Amino acid sequence: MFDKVLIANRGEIALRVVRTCQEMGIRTVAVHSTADRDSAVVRLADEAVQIGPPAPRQSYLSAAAIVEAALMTGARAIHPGYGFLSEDPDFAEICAANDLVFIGPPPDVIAKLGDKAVARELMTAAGLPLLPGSTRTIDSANEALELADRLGFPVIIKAAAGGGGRGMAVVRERADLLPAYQRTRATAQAVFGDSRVYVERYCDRARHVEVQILADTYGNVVHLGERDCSVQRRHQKLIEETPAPGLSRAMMADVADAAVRGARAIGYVGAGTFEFLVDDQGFYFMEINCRIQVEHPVTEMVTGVDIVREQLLVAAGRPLSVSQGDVEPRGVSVECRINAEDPERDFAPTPGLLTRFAPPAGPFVRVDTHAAPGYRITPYYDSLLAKLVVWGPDREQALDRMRRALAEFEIAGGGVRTTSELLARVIDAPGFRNAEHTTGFLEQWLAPVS
Amino acid sequence: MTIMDDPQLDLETGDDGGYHALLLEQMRRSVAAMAGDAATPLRRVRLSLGAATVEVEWESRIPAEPVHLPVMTAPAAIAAAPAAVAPAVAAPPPGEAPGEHVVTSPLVGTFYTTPEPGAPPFVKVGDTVVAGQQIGIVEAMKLMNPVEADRSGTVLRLLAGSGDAVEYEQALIVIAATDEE
Repeated sequence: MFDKVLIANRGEIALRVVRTCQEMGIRTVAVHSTADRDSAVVRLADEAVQIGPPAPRQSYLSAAAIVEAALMTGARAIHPGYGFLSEDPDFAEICAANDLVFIGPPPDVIAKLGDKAVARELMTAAGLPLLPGSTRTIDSANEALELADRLGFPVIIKAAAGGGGRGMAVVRERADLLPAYQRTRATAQAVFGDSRVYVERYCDRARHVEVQILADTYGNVVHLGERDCSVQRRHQKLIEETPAPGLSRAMMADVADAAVRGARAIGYVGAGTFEFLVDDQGFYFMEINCRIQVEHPVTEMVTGVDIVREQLLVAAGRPLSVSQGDVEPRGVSVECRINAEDPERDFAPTPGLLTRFAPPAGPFVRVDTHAAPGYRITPYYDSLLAKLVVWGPDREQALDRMRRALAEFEIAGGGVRTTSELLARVIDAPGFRNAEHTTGFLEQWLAPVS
Repeated sequence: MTIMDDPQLDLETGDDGGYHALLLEQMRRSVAAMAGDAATPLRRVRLSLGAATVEVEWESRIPAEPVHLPVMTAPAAIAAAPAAVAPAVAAPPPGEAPGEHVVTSPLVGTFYTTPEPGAPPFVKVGDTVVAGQQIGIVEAMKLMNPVEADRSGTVLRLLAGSGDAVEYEQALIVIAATDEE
């Protein structure tokens, strides 16, 4: 096992990784920008290296600064967390060139799956069902229009290099297609440096269901069941849960098997997530995320598997500690993302200084957060303040526990607003309680409010 | 006395009565001095005579990065070695006394005080520097990045030794500024 690991990230996920490293007896190196000098992870890690100014491009996205920090501290491996460099094949290669282990899939796998058009082709070949649409990228506005006419509206235009809910546009009317096509290409070029897009049928009466995969270098591929992430706003997840409520267990088993089949077909290594859309017709492959995900705790809560620990084992060349037979999910787990955003102002981020921050506790409650009283929410990074995760023997008890925990959560600071109250209202919304919600639920539900 | 004071020393052959003993003694004293300055107990000490390296590891909560002490550095640089054993949380550059200005590292890497091994240093204590003048190099990913003084003045202190690992904005030298800010 590695004696020292560098965490190339910040915030709650950096803390999350440090904690598992400490439990495994692995020394840790935190890297941080000047804005994060006083952060919890800097205090908890064995060592810390200041790598740059607040702007991510010169700190958390600077491969050179991070690799230098690893070399100077003698770290053997780099855990990229999520976001930042976690799905950057070039970074994975730079790590390898410097004899550092990148904790994630091999660079060529990341590169293939990072291109959604290529990922779709690979998964089609592996026999996974896809939504009707283009299996390759679209080269002209005319081609996009012809395809949309064939598919029928609504359609969704997605950037091949997209991710994180950016670089996609839903088009409901034929007249809107051309401007949306041009706009998505421009966004994709600006954000991802790659203007290629593809078009597929859009279904907003669907569920977003994803499967957590673990794979080692010995050919073992294990799934840890599914997560339902259908409560979304502009493709940003707000609430995630496992198991997927109101969907047949038989279909969920098929979805999990499809993910395992896909992972084997591409030689996946490490922790990964296969995303699917599920409607009353069946399920369709969307994309693969080559990293640990924000919502991984709900899976940990029902399976008892520490996903970061498995990532470290696999990266160190060890086999997974669990086989498929060991995975027996119990009960229900729900996660709410508490963001420093103002739902009243179109979810604008609210930077500021936290004067009060008292997370809930009690039975079967887990809070993953880097915040504390005196923590300054800066405009430089994403607005995720805390992940509130609960477990219950069934969904009703889990949601009641979530309601209690949300009510207990005290967060206050000059100018700071959070999504906490909104989440509490969603938890009690009949459509969500009865598991009749789809990916379009939250925006429809918010419409009369905003 | 330091080995630099010995006029009979032939560094080419490396073989001379007492040279190694003296070198070892010099290194031992460096370690003792650093151990005295450290906030936590030593975990490990490694001396390698060939390249004249001292590697020291402290208990955790302190950066365990090896501290390379080239024995040929100026005494001032050795005296500054404890800068490399700052607590894990990087201290902001030392408070600038009136008229003092701290030049910090523009990036993470290895700091060098000389343009090449064996060459005279870019600056010494007492030197006058002008804004824009190179005062050192930070090597990162095999690229040599010049570090320039951003103010004019006289060099008061050198805070980082040649070969030290430095982080972003780590204090490198202190200047008695003579220009208007």
